[in-house]
Amino acid sequence: MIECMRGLRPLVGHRTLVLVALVLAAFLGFSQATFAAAEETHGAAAESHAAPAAKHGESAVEGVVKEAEGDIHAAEHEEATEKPELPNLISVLLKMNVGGKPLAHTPVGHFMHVFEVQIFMVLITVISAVFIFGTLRLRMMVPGKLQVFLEMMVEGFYNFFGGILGSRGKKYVPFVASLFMFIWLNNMFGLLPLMTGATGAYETTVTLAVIVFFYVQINGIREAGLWHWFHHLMGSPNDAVTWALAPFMLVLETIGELAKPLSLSLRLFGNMMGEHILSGVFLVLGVMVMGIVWPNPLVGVPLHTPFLLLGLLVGTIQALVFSLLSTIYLMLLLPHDDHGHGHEGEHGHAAAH
Amino acid sequence: MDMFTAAAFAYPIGLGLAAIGAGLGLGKAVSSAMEAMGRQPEAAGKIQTGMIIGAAFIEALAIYALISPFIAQIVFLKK
Repeated sequence: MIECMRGLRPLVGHRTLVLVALVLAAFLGFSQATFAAAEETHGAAAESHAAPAAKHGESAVEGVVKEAEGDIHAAEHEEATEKPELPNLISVLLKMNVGGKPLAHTPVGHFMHVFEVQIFMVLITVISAVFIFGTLRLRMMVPGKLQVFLEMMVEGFYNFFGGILGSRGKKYVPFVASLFMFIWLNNMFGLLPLMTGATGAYETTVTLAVIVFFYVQINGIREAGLWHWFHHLMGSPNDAVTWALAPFMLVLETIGELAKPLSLSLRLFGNMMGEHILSGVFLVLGVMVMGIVWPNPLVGVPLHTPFLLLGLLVGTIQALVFSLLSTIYLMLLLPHDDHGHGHEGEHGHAAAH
Repeated sequence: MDMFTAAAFAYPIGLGLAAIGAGLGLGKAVSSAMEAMGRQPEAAGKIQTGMIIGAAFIEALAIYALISPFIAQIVFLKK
């Protein structure tokens, strides 16, 4: 990734890049402010003659059962727990009236509300897959800019993650690189108007973290063997004192292993949700500020634009951190012969390879 | 003082304390990394990687404080 950035630098001047980013952010902020204003005024009108529409902020897992009952109390509580977020296509659509009643009350609207984030996740994945496969199909003798860019990215991934994993860990690079691409694309698409990223929902991040957990453990067992994996989990005991401490170390290391997916998922979720809420709060504030001089405004003041630029930074760093930590968890469980960590019991194993 | 008032006072204070700790930790980590990069510019890439990982661990502590109100909100208000 860093290599690929370095490669891009001569192509695009710094000043042009900054200018383009600023113009883009201003445009994005402005259009999002427009949608927020529309949502505020339209939503207020829709809610005045109908029961409180179903809102997001509910986890899909328990939402399916709870919302089907549709009792008033749940709706009231939901109103209270609603988080301010940037308007997206589904939240705007749900506020609209179809044949006299809000779309949120129809079965389609209900489905769209419950699986809001997942719909965007599938959309983003399909878009990026079509883009990448379309570029790979070209296979030109003189590659175009797009192909060079993608090849540079792949090479950057191999250099960066492969450098951490060592020579025998090269085969795990596609997994962590896919993790990076998925999270990064979700974070970036979340900044576009009428889009939201799946990483701002805990369902997504906890799924990713659980996938990483099982992938790391299964590959650790397969690479090191069951006994070496267990030996590692006991803190690699090799003399009487460490063997005596091994049961305690086993408990400690097991808790440590189980805490990894928890911290991994909470970190990504907290960062992305915090950013969404921050920009959402400032977006609503912008609409309110505009409301002082223009009642029922059509556009708001795009006060949240700086936070979109911050989101660009945070999204990239968090994607990098998630995939980097997965790489490191993987590296810690792989038998490391070329890192010189001084594990006594692994020389025989290393010689066997 | 009812529970919500207490929570409304406790969360900002708790988040502020977490931010102080994380800020101190991040400052120390980043300043050391910068110093190391200044001493050994050729190892800047490796130091940067390590710094980002460490920063992520430190930052996670503040993030836990940030999201605990939301989790508490979901848990208490869903009853």
